[in-house]
Amino acid sequence: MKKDSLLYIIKVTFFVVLAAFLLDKLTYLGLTELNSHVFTGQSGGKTNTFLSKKNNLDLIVFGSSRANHHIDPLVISKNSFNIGVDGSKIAFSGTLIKTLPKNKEQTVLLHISPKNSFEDSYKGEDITTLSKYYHQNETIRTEMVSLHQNSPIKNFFWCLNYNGSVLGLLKNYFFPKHSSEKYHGYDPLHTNKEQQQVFEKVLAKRKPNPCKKKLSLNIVYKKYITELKEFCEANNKRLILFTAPIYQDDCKNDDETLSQLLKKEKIEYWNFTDFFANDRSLENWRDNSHLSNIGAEKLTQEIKTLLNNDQN
Amino acid sequence: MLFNSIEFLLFFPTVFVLYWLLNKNLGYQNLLLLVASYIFYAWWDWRFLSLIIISSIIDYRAGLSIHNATSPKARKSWLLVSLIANLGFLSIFKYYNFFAESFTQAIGVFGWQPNDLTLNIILPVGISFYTFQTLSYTIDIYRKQFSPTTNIINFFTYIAFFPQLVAGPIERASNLLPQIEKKRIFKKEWFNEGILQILIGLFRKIVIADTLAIYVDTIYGDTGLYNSSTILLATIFYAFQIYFDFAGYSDIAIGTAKLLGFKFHQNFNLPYFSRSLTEFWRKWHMSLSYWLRDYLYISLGGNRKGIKITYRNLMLTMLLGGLWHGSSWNFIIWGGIHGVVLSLEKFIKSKPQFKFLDKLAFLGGPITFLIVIIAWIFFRAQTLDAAMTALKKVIFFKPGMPFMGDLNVLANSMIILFIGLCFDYYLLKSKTKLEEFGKNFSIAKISIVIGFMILFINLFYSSSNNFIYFQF
Repeated sequence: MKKDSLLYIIKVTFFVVLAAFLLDKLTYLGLTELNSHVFTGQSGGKTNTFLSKKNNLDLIVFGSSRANHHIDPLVISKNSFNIGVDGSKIAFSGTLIKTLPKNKEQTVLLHISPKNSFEDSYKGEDITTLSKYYHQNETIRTEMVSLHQNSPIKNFFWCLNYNGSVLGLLKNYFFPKHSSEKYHGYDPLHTNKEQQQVFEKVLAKRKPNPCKKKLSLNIVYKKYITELKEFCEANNKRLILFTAPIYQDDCKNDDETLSQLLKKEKIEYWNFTDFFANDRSLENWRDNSHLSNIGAEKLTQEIKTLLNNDQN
Repeated sequence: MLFNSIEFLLFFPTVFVLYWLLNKNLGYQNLLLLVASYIFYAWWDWRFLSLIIISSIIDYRAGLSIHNATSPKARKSWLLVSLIANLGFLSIFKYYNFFAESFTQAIGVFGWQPNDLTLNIILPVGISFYTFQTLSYTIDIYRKQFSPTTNIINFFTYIAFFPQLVAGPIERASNLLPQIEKKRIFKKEWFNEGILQILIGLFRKIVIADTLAIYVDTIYGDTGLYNSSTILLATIFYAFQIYFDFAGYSDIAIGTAKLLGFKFHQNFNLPYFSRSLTEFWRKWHMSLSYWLRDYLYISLGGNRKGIKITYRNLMLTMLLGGLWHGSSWNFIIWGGIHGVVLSLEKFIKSKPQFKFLDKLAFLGGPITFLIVIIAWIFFRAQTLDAAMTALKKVIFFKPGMPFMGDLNVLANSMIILFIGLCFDYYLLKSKTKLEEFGKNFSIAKISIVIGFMILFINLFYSSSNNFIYFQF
């Protein structure tokens, strides 16, 4: 290769890296500035709202969509928030729990799925939803590092932390859905007749899932269950794990095994899997594992009663 | 190894540096390409390397023997050796189970219930592509259109050359082998074009195609569940998903080769702007369509044996082209639809009484697109039943709101698709060949363009799926 060709490659490589680095940092700073003003939207805005309110809350609901759409925290307490986010599992919720203030009395309701708890392949990938806070929040950074969910490329390209969320962020910045003051994180699932018909068709075609015989608690779940128990005990928090209802639950052994494990750990656990066993009306449901707003209201009332009974 | 993987991000720069360091010695440089290509393939499954090596040995020997044979019979025999070996491997690994299942079902009609004849066979990645490539070599030599190489390393490198090994473009020996045998020169323009085409390909694949895949996979997971407008929307999305997926792969392959000093043929040329299906096939997966034309359609007699034979040849070519994509009836029907419409176009063109249709040429684009998306239903659906369910819903269209699912996904899909189409439209209007995009950019301009492309990829890429054409 000629010398001038080599020089050309070096020059292009250098300037490409420089341009990519500068554009990345400028965009990251711009997006972070926008993000700090966004308080609506499932992942970004909702987490921002939680982080801004968390120090003054006395009841917080954590978990996946099965927490988000199922518990209206306002029915239980005025100082409450539901930070359930679709698709999230224990790493996301556990990390946010660890950001709660020390020594402030709070009730933590954490949704746990028995099926996910015994899944071997789960490595805490859902924590990457919090990537955009990697360079801003130490607790989140520490957790991401401990779960090996921080790609080394992200140390160079910070904008990777905003992957997939830019359009949502812009939409929520320019057209916020609601005021953060009035939002308590609960997103009810209102269903219509067509959706109910789809659910009926799905049920008709549904084949039972095979059940695992050997159940061993996933290593990430194990880590968080132990650490959250310690964190809550040390910081004046009541930790309650719960499982939301399922229309057709194929496997019972995972529920039982999880229940025993948590009992052994002395962790409070409420299993609502069969909460609607005697009320099979489809109006309570959106799909097999999600309640409609009607079902969610009933579940919220039950949780409120249980919490009040405990207080009395 | 996937083009859109971290491994490739480390693999390619290493090969690139070593390759140009060895520029003074062509033999070493080609040996490096061969070793790198085998590593690239073995990353997926090293055991199937043996298939490539066996194919290469047979065709190397067959090529020389055809060339040196003194009698036509010997030439034909060696060609048959090559055909039987290559098509034999392809039949066993790709089609055995399909024919065994079809046979079982067929005799089941008569009440016979034979034992399960299917085997647990893994389809070796890229077998359809490199088989066609090796076949073109021996057929070209047989037709006396090409002289075989006497350098085994060069020949093995031609078969296994990693940019096009697993999913094409199907480069013929007449284009690629002379380039392998000749000293490559580093060209700044090719470097610019190569890098830009790789990034455009990556954008098309991991930003556009993979984003569209989320909606498409949900709907095609169970076509019975969704209404007409949902199926139609998912099918339109799929039309663009498969285009951006495969064109993206081809872009990366062509760009990668260019960085190593090789020029591949164009594989996609804005096919969805075609005004007839005939034009579509001149622009879609060009390396395959021209292969089928030159080695199948023409071998069958092409259009030289009368109109009826021409239609037969066209149908056979398209049916076999469908079967090449996969061993299922869906692919055969897909090929059949294309064959029927191509024949119809040929018929209309040949009759002066249809001349009046020229006035309706403006409808050609939408009609072509409609036919293409209807055929895609068969290509995408998992089973024939699922395809028929989807087809009925599209044909007996009942208006209704399409399924929205995750609104962010849908909005992302629409916006990303719009960007992709705008870029294609720009290429069409400016008559720019993508393969030459950025040729004369200054260092500053290319750096900024690449910087922006990396930024967009980082912000919008979707979780990576395999390239669709890997399954073929």
